[in-house]
Amino acid sequence: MNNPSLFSPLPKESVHQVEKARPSLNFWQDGWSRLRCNKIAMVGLFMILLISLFSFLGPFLVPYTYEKTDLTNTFLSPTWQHWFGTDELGRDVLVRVMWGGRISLAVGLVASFINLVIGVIYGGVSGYFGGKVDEFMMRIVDIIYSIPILLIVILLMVILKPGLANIFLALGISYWVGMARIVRGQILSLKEQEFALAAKMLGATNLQVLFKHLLPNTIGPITVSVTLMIPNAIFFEAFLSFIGLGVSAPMASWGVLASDGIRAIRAYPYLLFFPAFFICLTMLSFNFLGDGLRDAFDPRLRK
Amino acid sequence: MTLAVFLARKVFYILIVIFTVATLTFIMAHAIPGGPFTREKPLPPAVKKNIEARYNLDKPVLHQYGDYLKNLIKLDLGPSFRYESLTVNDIIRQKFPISAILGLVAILIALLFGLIAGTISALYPHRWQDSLFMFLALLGVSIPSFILATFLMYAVGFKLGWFPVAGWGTPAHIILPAFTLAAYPMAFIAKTIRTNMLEVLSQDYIKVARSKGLPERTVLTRHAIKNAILPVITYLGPLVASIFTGSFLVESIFAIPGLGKYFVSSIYDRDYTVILGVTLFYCVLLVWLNFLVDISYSFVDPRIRIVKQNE
Repeated sequence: MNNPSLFSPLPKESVHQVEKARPSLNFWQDGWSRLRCNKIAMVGLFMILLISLFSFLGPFLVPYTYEKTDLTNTFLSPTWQHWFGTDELGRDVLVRVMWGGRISLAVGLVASFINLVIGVIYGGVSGYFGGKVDEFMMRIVDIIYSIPILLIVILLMVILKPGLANIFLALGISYWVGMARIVRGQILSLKEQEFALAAKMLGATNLQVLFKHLLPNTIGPITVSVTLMIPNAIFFEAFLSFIGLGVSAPMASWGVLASDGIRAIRAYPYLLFFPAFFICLTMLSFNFLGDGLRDAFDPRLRK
Repeated sequence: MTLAVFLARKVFYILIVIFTVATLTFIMAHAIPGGPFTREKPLPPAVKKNIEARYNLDKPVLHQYGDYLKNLIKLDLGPSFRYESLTVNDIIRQKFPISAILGLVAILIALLFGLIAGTISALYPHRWQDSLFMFLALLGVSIPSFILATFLMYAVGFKLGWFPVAGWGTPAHIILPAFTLAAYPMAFIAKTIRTNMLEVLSQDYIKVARSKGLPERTVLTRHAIKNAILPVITYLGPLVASIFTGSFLVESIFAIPGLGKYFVSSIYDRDYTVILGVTLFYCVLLVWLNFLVDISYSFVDPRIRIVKQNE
């Protein structure tokens, strides 16, 4: 029985008997594969890409500029020359809507980014160090949380001068509270897990454990929260423009265009229609995408 | 921990919030360039000095701060920056009732329709009723209030002529603005109710109720809704906040002479004392409302007792 000739090497193909059921995926690939199946979320993503292209590349393709007035062609209804018509100074509405998109999207992205940075650091530190530090930091958050964000933003904008940079600032420093709470909650449970202990035993400093090991695990909820924060920021910017605290002429965000349009609603409804359409479409798309991301990153929430 | 201690703690905490907001508004009032007596043509220095002495503006900032807090305790928000004969208190007393009526109607609409839509969606998950209501809810959270307001004004008020386009006075004037205000919270409530209702309907006690032979209607109204509606109560605080801040725009668009419209026009006018006073007023109001909601929550839901919550 010990005769080696009874044994023969297996053909090469069958060596890997333990086949992987499916390729190993990292966090993003996994989320993406689930997101891809969600048609509504993909529509949202696609629309966001289209709107971004429209806003950022569009102005190069149109033979008008946002501040060029043409007093012989005021209040033109949409035509082949002016797809979206012209406004009271004969400015092309199409190119103004494109520029408005740049501003509105920029406000959404920058404000969310500032929130992200402040919220993640604040929430991370509070959750990780816990105890008295946590207690104190969360009391501050509670206080800010009990004041409507819009009132804070309005107060800030009244004191700062209206302008794009100040809108970034006002939205950025008042909106991080929600993010801080989310991150803190995540960190509180994550820091008790073994991998955090292991990292510490290997000599990682507190900051390394927090930023290299714990925060990367909170990326799902953070992504969802940022995606849902962007439409909020866009809405707030429109709101501010509407009450006269937005960007100033000749630049115009969607909010400014819409509030100008409202004044002329009876005679020239198209002046309101186009900016309003783009605001709604953008907010809808981000909400679609945000809901989809939530399902993709947190399958427990799925029905 | 007893109830009394819990309440005392809460109230103490609320006072801290109010104090913080008051301090912030005071700092902001001082950060604004120019003073109440800044004119295009400068006043003679002696006159200016006299006036400032009259209003204690020559005292050190800390002293002014003390006076300010003393006035706040007496619930005195000071005079308007722009209109000589008006104080901020007068303005709030005159204008707020209108906003309150509008807000109340909006809250009722939001609760009623949100509840109905959410329940129907949960009863027919993934059928056309569900898809329809959830699509409407998605629109509700995605359409900014000022666009919805203008749309309703234009389509329902102007083109169809069913309701007055703008103004205030008759019950018909309330419908369009109240509906605009209610749109966002209504959508949110409908979504929340749907999720909760689906969860509740799959619970054993609902199965028990059904197997006892209770008609579906009784199962819903007596057993399911009670539990599904609970999370909506926690949303009441943010709901009121969103109604109030929403009314800034909605009142301006529909020309309703409430506090929201006045607040927006005082922003245009840079009437700083009114801006700060009204902000403070809203904050204090909301903080107390949230307090009431917190308390009522623990009374409504016997599973959550205050004591447990705070351990």
